[in-house]
This record gives sequence, C-alpha cells and structure tokens, in this order.
Amino acid sequence: MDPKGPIGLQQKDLIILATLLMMIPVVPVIVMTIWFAYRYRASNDRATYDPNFEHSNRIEAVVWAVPTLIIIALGTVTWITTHQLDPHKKIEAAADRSHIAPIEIEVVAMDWKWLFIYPQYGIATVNEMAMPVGVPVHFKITSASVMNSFFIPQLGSQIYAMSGMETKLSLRADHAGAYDGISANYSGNGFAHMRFKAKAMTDAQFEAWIASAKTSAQSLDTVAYKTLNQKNVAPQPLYFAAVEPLMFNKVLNGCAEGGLCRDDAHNMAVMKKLAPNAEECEDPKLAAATGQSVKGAKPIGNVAFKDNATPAS
Amino acid sequence: MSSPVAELHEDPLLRFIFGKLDINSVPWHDPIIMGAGFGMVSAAVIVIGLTTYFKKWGYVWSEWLTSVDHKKIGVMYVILALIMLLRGFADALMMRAQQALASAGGAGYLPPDHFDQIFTAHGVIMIFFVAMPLVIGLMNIIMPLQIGARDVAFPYLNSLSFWFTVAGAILVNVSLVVGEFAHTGWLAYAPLSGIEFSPGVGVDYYLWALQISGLGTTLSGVNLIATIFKMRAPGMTLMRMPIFTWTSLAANILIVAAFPILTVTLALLTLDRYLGMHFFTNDGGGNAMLYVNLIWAWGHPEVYILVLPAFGIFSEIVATFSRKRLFGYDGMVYATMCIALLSFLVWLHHFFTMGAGADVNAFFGITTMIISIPTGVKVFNWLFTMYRGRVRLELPMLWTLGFIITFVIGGATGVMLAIPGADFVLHNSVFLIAHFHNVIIGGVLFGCIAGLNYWFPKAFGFRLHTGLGKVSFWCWLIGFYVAFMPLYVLGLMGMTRRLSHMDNPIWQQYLIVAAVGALIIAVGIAAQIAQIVWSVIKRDELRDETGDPWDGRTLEWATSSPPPFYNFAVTPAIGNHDSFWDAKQTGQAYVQPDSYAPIHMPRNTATGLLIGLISVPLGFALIWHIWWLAIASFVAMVGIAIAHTFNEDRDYYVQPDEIKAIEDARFAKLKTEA
Amino acid sequence: MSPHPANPPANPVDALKDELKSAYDHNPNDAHDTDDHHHQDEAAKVTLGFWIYLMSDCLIFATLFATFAVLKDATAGGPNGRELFDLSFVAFETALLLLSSLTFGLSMISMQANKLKGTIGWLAVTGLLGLGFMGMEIYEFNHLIHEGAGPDRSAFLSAFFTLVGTHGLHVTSGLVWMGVMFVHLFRRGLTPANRIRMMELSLFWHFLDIIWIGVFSIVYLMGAA
Repeated sequence: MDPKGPIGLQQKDLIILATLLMMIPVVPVIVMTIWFAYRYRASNDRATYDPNFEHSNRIEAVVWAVPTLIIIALGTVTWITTHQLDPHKKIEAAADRSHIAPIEIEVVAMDWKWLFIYPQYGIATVNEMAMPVGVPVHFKITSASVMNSFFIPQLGSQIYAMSGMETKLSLRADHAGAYDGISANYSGNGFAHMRFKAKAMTDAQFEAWIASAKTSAQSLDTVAYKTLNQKNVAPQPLYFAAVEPLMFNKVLNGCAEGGLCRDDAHNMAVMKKLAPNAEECEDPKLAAATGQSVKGAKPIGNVAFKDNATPAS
Repeated sequence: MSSPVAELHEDPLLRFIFGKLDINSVPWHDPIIMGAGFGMVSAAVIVIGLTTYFKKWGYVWSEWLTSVDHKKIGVMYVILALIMLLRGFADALMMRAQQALASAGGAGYLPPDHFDQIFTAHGVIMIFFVAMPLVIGLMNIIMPLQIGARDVAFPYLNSLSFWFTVAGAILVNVSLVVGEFAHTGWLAYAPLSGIEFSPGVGVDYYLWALQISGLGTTLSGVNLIATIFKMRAPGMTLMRMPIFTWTSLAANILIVAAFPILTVTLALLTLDRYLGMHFFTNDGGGNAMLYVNLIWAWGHPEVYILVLPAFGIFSEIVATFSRKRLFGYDGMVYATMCIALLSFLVWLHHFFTMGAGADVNAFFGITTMIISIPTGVKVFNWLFTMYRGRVRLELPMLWTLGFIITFVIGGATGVMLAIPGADFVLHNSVFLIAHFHNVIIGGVLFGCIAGLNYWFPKAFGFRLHTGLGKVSFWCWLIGFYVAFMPLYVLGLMGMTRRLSHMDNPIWQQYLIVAAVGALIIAVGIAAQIAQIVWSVIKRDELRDETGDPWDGRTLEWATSSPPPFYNFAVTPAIGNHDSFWDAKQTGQAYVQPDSYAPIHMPRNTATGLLIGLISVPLGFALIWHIWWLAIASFVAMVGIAIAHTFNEDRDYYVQPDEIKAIEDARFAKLKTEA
Repeated sequence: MSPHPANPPANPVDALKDELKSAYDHNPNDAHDTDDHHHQDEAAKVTLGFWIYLMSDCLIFATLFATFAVLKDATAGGPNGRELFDLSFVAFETALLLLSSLTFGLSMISMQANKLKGTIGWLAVTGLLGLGFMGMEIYEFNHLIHEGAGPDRSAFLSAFFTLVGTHGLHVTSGLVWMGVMFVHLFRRGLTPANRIRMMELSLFWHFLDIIWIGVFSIVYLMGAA
C-alpha cells in the first residue's frame, strides 16, 4: 500500500492497527497448536495424561474473555473509524489550501469506461480525471449500466456506482502524480479495461488541463452521450469542451439519451394528483449540480457557472 | 462463444421443437471447450462401458442408484463432490494460468468472455457442487450412525434430494458444451445478470441448475432436522449428542432458514428474465440493491452451513486422537448455536461500499466481529482438548492441525475486512479472495478431507493409505500458502478480483508464484486420487475388522465397518456424548445379545432417481425455451411423485435369523482379531 | 406406512437387553411396537418434517412480502394499489378461502369420528371453495393484465403478481393434492396412512389461509388505503 491522500493514509493505519490487534490471539494460538501437539504427542510418556479433563471454569472464562476483550477494543475502533471514514463525509482541504473551493466531479460508470463531468468548469472527460493537489474532491457517482465500484486505490475508499442511484465520495490527493483508477466490481466483458488515470497536479497545471479540455472539438450532448454509451472500451482518454446542462441528473433519471426523465415523470404524476407534498417549481437541481461553495474559498480558474460560484472578494 | 445470443429458428416448427437451441449452440471451433467436453463424454462412456462389460448394472441399480440407505446416498454425495472438485479445480488452474500470463500486458490464452465464465463456474461448482455435497454427504453417512438411528427420517426423500443435486451438477456440465455458462460471477449480481446485459442462456443455466439442486438441499435439510429430533437412540438427550450431530443440526436449520431466500431470489431474477418483470432491472422501478441484499441474506448463512459441520468434524477428531474428552462440550454447543444465529445478522458486510450510512455499516461490522468470539472459543476448546491428551498424529489429526493454524489466519483477515473503514480499500480485492479461500479451503475443505480420512474406514471397512495421504496433506497445505499469500499482498497493492487482463509487471511476479501454488495443490489432489486408488487395491492390508480403527468415542464406531444396512442390530442406549468410549471402558461394548428383534427397514425405490433425472430435461428445456419438453417433463415428475403415493410396499421387516447370521459373522471376526 | 402383519414380540433375555427394554418402548425404529404404535410414531415424524417444510415455505413468503414492501411504491409512473384493487371483490375471495378452512376442519372432525362419507364430503366442499378462490384470482389477474397493469408494467406490479401468484400456485397444488386424496380415500378409506396424509393436507391448507390473511391485509388493505 502506498497511499497518497489522507483517506488512504488513515485506512493504511487502520489496517496495520487491526493486524496488530489480531496478532494478540493469532500468534499464541499458532504457538499453542504446535506446542500442544508436540508436548502431548502419544509417544511422550512424561507428559501428563488426564483423559477426563474436559472442563475448567478458569480456562473457559479466559477463552471467552480474551476474544471478547479484543472484539470490544476492535469494535470501538470500528465504530469511530467508520464514522470518520464515512464516504459521504466531505473532507477538509490540506492545511494551507482551504482558500480553494473543493472540486466537484460527477462520475458515470459506463460499459466499460468512466465519464467525468466537471460541473464547475462545464467540461467532461472519459477515462482521465485531474485534480489539484491538497484540494478535496467531492464525487457524485452513478452508473449508466450495471453495478461498478469507483476506486482509486492509492487515494483510499471505493464506492459502488449504481444505475438510478447516486453515491457520494470525498477524496484528496496530497502528492502530485498519476494514479490508477479502476472499477472494483465486475461488470462484464470489458471490465479489465475499465481503467482511468486520476492525475493530481499543481493549480497551474490543473488550469492548463481544464483549458486544454476546452479546446476539444467535441461537446457532450444527448447525441454524443448516446455514441459514448456503447458497449466498448475507450483505449484513449476523451475530452469534451462543453456539457449539456444537468447531464448527470439525466443519467441518474434514465433520460440522458432522450425520453422522459424519471423524476419529471414522478413530479408530473404528483402534480396531476395534486398531492400536497408536490416539489417546488424552481429548479433546485441546477444549483445542486453546479456545486456549493465553501465560504471564502474560490475555485481555481474560470468556472462555468459564474452566478453559482462565490465571487472573489 | 462468439455469439452469446442464439439466433432464433425462423421456421416456427423448428422453433417449437428446439426453442433457442440449434447446431451453433455448441462451440465446435473452440479447442479448449471441445477438448474438455470430449474428456467428460469419454469418461462417462468408459464408466458406462466398464459397468456393462463387468455386468454390474444390476448391482449398481439395486445397491446404489435406487438405494435409500443413508450411507450409500452419503457415499454418492461424496463421489459427486470429488468429481466436481476436479472440474472446479481445472477452472482454478486456468484462471491462475491466465492471470500469470496476462498480467504484464500480455493477451494470455483466454478471451474475457471465456475467462468470465470460468471464474463464475469455479465459484458455483466449488460452493454448490463440491463443498455442499461433501458436507451433506458426510452428514448423511455419519450423523444417523452417531445418534444410533437405522436411517434418516425420510429415506425416499433423501434419495430424491441427492438426485436433484446430481441434476443441478449435470446441467452445469452440459453448459460447458451446449451454449454457455453465466459470465456474471458466482452470485450473478443484477442488473448484470438481467436479460438486458446477459441475453444468452448462461444465466439461465445458472438459475435452473441452482434452483433444482437448491430444492434438493432444502429437502435434505428438512429430512436431517427431523432425523435428529425424532430418531435419536434412547437416552440421547440433546446435550448428549456428539458435536458433529450438533453442528449438523445447526447447519440444517440454517439450510431450511436460508435456502428459501435463495429460491425466491433466483425465482425473481428468473421472472425478470422470462416474463419481463422489473424486480432488479434498471428500468420499471426495479431495484438492484434488493438483489444484492437478498442474495447475501442467503449467502452469509451459507458460509456457516459449510463451516459448522467442518467444525464438528474437527471436534470429533481432536477428541479421538487426543484420547480425551472434548474440552468444554457445553461451550462448544452454545458457540455453535451462537454462530448459527449471528450468521443472519451480518449479511451487509458483503457490501459496505454500497453507500449505507456509517451507523448501519458500523453495526454490521461489529456484529460480524462478534461472530469471532464463539469461533475463538471453539479454537481454544480444541487446543485444550489436546492439552494433557495423548495426541496421535494420524492423517485426520494432521489435517486438523493444519486447519487450526490456517483458519486463525483466515479469521484474522476476516475481522480486518469486517471493519468498514478497511473494507473500503480491501473490498472486492484479491485480499478478499485470499481471505475466503483461507477459510473455505482451510476450514471447510480441510475439514471434509479430515472427515474423509477419519470416516473412510467406517464407510468401506479399510483405511486410506497413510503415506500418500501425507503427501496430499503437505501439498495442500504448502500449496495453499504459496497460492494465496501472494494474493493478500496483491490485494493490499490494489489488485481487484476477476481481471482477465492486467498491465503490471510487479503484479505478474506474485501471480506467477500464485500459479505455482495452484500447481502444488494439483499435486496434492493427484496424491489424493492415488491414495484412494492405492487403498482400494491394497484394501486387504488396510482392512479393519473391529469397526473401530481409531479407538473412537461416539456411536458410529460401535457397529461394524462397513455397517450392516440396518446400522445397529440392537438399538444402543446412551448415557453420555462419548457413549461408545464409556462402553469400552466398562466392558459393555462388544456384547452379543442372544436373540434379535425384527428390524423395520424401508425398501429401495427408483422414484427419487427418476424424478431427479427428469429434472435435467426440465431444466434444459426451460433454459432453451423448449416449452413442450418442459411441460412434459414437469407433468412426468409430478405424475411419478403422485404414483409413488400409491406404492404401498415401501417397507419390510428384517427377520431375526437374518440379523443373527450377519451379527454372528461379525462377532466371529471380532474374536479372531482379539 | 402400509399395513403389515403383526410381529410376535421377541423375548429379550440377557441383561443388556433387559436394561434396554424400556428404551424400546420409545424407539420409533423398532419392530416391538404394535402397528398402532408404529403409526403414531410415523405420524409424529411426518408431522414434524411437514412442519419444518412449512416453516421453510413460510420463509419463501416472508421474502416475497419483504420484496413487496420494498417495491410497493416503485410504480414507475404506472398505477398503484389504490387505483387497481377492488376491495369488495377481494373480500369475497377471502371469505371463500376462510370458509374452506372451516369446511376442512369439519372434514377432519368427520375423520376423527371415523366417518368416511363425511370426510370426503367436506373435503369436496373445501375443494370447491378453493376452486372458486382460484377462479376469482385468475379473473382478477386477467382483468389487470387487460387493463395494462400486468406484471411487466412496474416493479410494484411484478412484486404484486409474484406474491399473490405464488400463493395461488400453492392453493393450486393443494387442490391437486386434494384430487389425489380423494382417490386414496375411495381406494382404502381411513387407513392410518391416509389419516397422516389428511393431517398434513389440512396443515398445508390452514397455512395457506394464514398466508392469505397476510396478503389480504398487507397487499390489499394497506395497498388500497
């Protein structure tokens, strides 16, 4: 394990701690197994032989107590770390980087490639994503197809990508580099090639990366999405200079290739029945999609939705 | 392999007759598949040919195929498991070879399509058609003997259960040659296994093979529970039952409680695929998370269905070969039942990464860890059984020692995976693969092989050869570590499971080591086959006339080896869970009564065999949409079952003079031995 | 299970056998017992086995109920229970099935009183009520499918049809069993084997009744509310 971010580091420590705790019973058991088998071998007449020794309150108390105590300790660790490492939890920026707003990335697992949408910048990429070092990245993840698991091993935590559902993950890279990203849940024929690069870079490099994506001739609209969403692998990264608004929500609601969106259908049904708990008419999705901002922090470079980003003061 | 979707016949008559099946359903041009298929067919031809040549059909038919004797059925379960082990292990070798060859960017020799079927088939075969029949087979052979019963509660049902299991295994093997198997992984997660993403017949083979064999397993569970509750010898209270019987009871309760969930889950997926329903589809309001939850609500108890009987086997062996009472019998019983109960409260730990909240994940993580408490107690109890004993390092004991050491490592890595925070990086990695092979090979398989070595003389009257057994043991043990320790390391490096191709030269080194490990295990399996064959050849040298070759403690050793078809001429009375040991101590063990009472026995019947075998064309027809055949087979099965209720000649009484003749012969042999 | 000639009791003579003599009286496998005794043991064994089977069947329904609960609101823009269910129709259906449980009880009472005609008669009434129930269910399904609310319309309807349909399949197999039961009763009358069969069939039938009460309340009453 060679973690390059805070989540991965914490997880490495946790695995080491758990290993050490498990050594407490495991090593003595292995030693006792070999020792008892040797000491009480049938040919050893000097060892005590007590064929009716089948019960001892003291030993039984110990054999119940030792595992119980270890599990109490480990259970406590589990409770604490599970909350600390909850993928839904938005992590903080590195010490001197809190002035920069977190990067929002919407991830779509496809057969068999990864689509990354940067709502703050209005670009999209396939099988390559970039992020500035030390800045938290908030992922929203879904699938256009079967179940996958979004995983950049060196940054830590994975989470499933499921059709019609949105999962969240928050990661940070503290060192520059290009890390392997994979699907960690088998998804069919092209699964082994469903890989991407997660590039952690300086702010300037990141701005340049965004800018170069913007020079792409392609943009991601319904037609381009349909072309992309075929059952094949993408050997080279792809870049889209512009993305149709609310693309991620459309994927989530099964209408990225056209047709009626599930949420719209639902809302229409609700309105038709004049249910009292009908949703608001203003579009809260747009605001959500473009990302909320941390007070006093400003995104790197030119953001696409100026009205939603916090203006520099 | 090239086209997973069979072209439909255009002629309606052909479509009616053959459904989706046509000449191209067989991959004639794939040398690997055709070779394997040829091997299987010729093996079957050889067996059939030899049986015919030696004119043994009458014997095979009346003594085996139509037998309702629990010992014979148990032996047939074990034979089925060993045959399927070869198939499942061949898959394992192919996977190891592919990953070793194709991990540094190479193409390997298998296209993804084929590799995906292989890992799916490997998992399905090893769990459903190796581990399950081994465990159920051993329970069948031994458990009724341990409780002093003459047979199981419903002998005819027992035969039916077995033949359903065989039918499932046949369907899996047919899929190798006709059509394809699922390429979805052994649990066939939806929506990948839905009709949209898996339009071929592979998933249908999976569904019907498991549905048919699962039915057999459920019926077997019902049968064995009723046997334990209703057929114990007088005096055998629950707390005097041998531990293996206890763990069998726990496993069968789990079967009856968990397999219906599997049945429903597979049925719902079937309805999605056949009738366009929307349980687990991406559209129409389906919910794939429901599938994952349901399949693991069965899947986790399944792990304990397999491992609890193995624990029971080890408990019997440790006590016997330490010549000592089992330490902490009561604790063992409570630990077993604790584990059985807890096994239903942990299923979510198989998918912490699905995005449930931290409270939910932490809850399931901790319940999972709690299971390690009773498990730890069991391990300590085995150790303290050896303590102050006289440990004989016979084969079963060797396997047990190998198990304890291996299993605690697997348990430790299991606890690590149970911590959600750690699982977020280890989930679905080859670390997980190493973990569950660590507990399933180290626990279930070692347990069953230990049990085979231990009880083989009981079933056949002669021992297995020790030298070859030791070769097999050491190859398995060393091979296991060589094959799976690299996977732990690779898992920590971020290698996920089920990759047909990789591009990482560092990983390749580890994968080559792992492949070597698999080859060492292959030598172990070969030694096992040699052990059985050699022992059969040398059976007169290895013969045991006492019925008690290991100086055993429980009732199965009180009768002859192999036991007479009625098991016990006189129903034994029980005062203790080590009752035979006590009887030997007080000199009551080998006393022949002067006269015998008639014994009530069930007659053999071909009904179970017929119904079970007709379920093969039923499944095949459903897979290929040959509706006329499906209906005909189903009607035939129901018809035969109903006709069976009109058979009034199902049982008979063995007369005292016949019993006396058999028993006189046995006691005469005992005298010459002594 | 079948009748067999009574066997002369053996005479245990040696000490060991004396010790075990009392044990024989409780042992289901032993031929010492009279026919009657043997059949009682057989009945207890079969009944326990059948109970265990019913519990596993109960878990099938439990899983289907859980699935229904999860997918109840997944109508995918299609109709929901309130729009589809006709409660008075289902109430009548329910009444038929409940009544059939009662008539099966009457059949069992006749059996206990050794009245073959009564047993068969009430069993026939039970079968007719069951047929009526199935007829209504098939009508309802057919009606829904023609309205465009078939099982492939939405996850909710898939779950509805599967849960109710599985119960229906059970009732159907119960009816087939009854058909076979008539033949057994006509052929042999109230033999011990047939008594055991009747007992299990009645367990099965009452079990289906209980499941239906769950279906009626959870699927129909709560769905239409």
